[in-house]
Amino acid sequence: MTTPPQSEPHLDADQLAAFAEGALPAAERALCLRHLAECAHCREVAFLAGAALPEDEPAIAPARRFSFPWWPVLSLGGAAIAAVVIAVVILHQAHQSKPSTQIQMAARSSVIPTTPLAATAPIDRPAPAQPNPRVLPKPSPAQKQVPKSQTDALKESQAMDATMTASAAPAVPGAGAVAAAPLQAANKAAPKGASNFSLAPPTAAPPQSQSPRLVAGAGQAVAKAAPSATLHAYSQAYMRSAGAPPGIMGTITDSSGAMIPHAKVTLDQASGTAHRETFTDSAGRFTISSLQPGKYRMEISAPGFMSQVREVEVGTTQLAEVDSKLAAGAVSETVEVRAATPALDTESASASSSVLSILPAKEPLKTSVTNGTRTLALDTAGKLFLSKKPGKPWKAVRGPWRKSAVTSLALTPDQSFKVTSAQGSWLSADGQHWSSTN
Amino acid sequence: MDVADPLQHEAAPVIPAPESQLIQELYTSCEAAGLGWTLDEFGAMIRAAASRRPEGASTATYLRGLHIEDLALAQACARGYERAWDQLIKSFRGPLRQAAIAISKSSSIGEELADSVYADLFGLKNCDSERRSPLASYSGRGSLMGWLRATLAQHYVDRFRRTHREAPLEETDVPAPAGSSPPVEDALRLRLESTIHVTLRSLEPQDRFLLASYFLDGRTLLEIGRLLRVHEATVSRKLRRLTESIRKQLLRELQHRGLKKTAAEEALGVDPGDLNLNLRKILQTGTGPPFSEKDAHKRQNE
Repeated sequence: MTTPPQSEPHLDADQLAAFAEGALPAAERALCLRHLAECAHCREVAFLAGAALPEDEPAIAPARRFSFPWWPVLSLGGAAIAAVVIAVVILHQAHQSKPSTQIQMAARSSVIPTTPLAATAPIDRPAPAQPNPRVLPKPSPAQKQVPKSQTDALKESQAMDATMTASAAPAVPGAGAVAAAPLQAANKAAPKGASNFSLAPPTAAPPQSQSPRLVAGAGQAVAKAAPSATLHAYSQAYMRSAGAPPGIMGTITDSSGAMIPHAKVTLDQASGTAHRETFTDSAGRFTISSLQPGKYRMEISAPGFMSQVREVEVGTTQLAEVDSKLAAGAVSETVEVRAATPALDTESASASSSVLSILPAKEPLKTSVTNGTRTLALDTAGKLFLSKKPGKPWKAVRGPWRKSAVTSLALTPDQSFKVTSAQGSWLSADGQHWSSTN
Repeated sequence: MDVADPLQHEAAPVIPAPESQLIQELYTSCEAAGLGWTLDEFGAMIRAAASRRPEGASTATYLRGLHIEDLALAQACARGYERAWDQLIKSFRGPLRQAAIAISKSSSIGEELADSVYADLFGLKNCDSERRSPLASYSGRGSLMGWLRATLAQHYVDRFRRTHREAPLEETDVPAPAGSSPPVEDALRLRLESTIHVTLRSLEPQDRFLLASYFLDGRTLLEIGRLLRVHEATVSRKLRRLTESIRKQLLRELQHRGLKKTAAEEALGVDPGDLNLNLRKILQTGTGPPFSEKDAHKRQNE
């Protein structure tokens, strides 16, 4: 313990005690610190006095660390996260409630369309959603697979179709007085726990009936729709409800029970005064409303299937429910030659106009030929389109004829496509790579 | 910083009349009557204590901030009131003994130290036929127990001084190992010594206290923190920043004196044993003539 000479008197006990307890004013504390810095003796005394403090005596202040103001940051961050979560929840709920809102608005709408509803099926749906054009020159096992692939595509798209049907619901003529009943009937049709607008694929797509039957006059407001077809059940229930105009609705299936989309349903009144056409939707359902009471001749046709003709009687206020099952048929039985569309190529028996006017160019179909799984279609504008296999969308073919219009499309005996334009003729085995015949 | 003279308390300016109500309040609150105080004597003592208040401070605020009970007890003991002594012994005998043992780290020495402090507090020394007790210097700013601990520490240091031989610091310094580093050029060494001297002398008192306590006295961070009433982590952080600041300041000062940055950094890597510096003297010297290179050269020539 050494003590260098000091020129100033030492701190007294009163000052040391007050300094150690932080009781000195700032100026006096600074003087004490200055003295303590220079006086080893007083430092010794001060530290000794501090060492005599009992352990449980709180003589030290808590550490004054630099504390980043986390609380404002955390609170702001938490508020931002909460706002985002709330926004997501609201958007999610709004997204989920949007279809029902549309339905409710449609059901509450008192506007009755002046023109009769032609069809509820999505006729104007873009090409990818359309089924593959099927031209079946001969009944073969491969051709029997066409409906199956079609069914698979349907199963995949049924959930989305339910929403599409919901968007089509406002077209159904309705009145506010019947708004509640259809919704309840639709809810009855839906299984427990299943959302009315669930995007999940349906668990099963059973045929609505095993055999063609006419249920004209059936006025029961109980929907037989599949679980995923609650909206269809809603429309059925609505059309069956009292006050709804008479109409016909039903489901078209094939022999295996798979629903047939885009089957053409033609309705001709026996008196010849009314003619209505529609197509089944992706679930094989169709609806024709606002019909005059009377007897009708209904023809159901679908590519690859035998046509079916039935007599349907529509009552005054009742709904005729027609469920039909189509059998696969030969090409000769399904060929439907339009009078305005002359067949330019008579070499091939597969020439068919069963390819619907669903080409991307929106032009009427002129002819189409099929080579195995590949189908080429020529529209009236001279443009060529290729579908590589059933179910695939159409793609425009840009061959060596460039922008000149194709005048004829044919299939050679060796199953090659032959295209003729003003510039010449070309052959292709795949519909994509062309070689000139000149 | 003279020890307060208790006689000066009697000559303190009289507190204005409106504050007599404050005196009455303090008299009642600290139960001064039980210690033997009369109101007039207590008022005089309070007025004397109020005379120590810092400039600009309110008398009432200052007085209410004092340990008024301890002040009344200590001043009553200084005046020889028996009841106050009984109270002092009753309240502080045990803590004082424990503090003495803690300071001396020995129960026997602690007992002896506590007894000697008691005797001193009682005022055995007569001055002009009047007994004077160190308790009269107690101002009430700190606690009476803190004052007693400081008094114990002072007595212990005085006792240590009387019984141990002093050893100067310079002789206890460890000499630098010879040949451990290349010899430093005289010019560079003088420049470095001067820079260190100026830099350390320019430090704030608290910084010098930290350096002296930690590096010279070898105090722990906990001890320093307890004395400064801060956490030991705060002391550690301050010390780290202080040493970094000193290093930067030394670099700046060396560059200011003509050294390049690399040379200044190399100069700071010089073995401290090669420098003729008494850091204890530099740090503990408060006010004195500033160090100059001319003086350093003169000392070197001598």
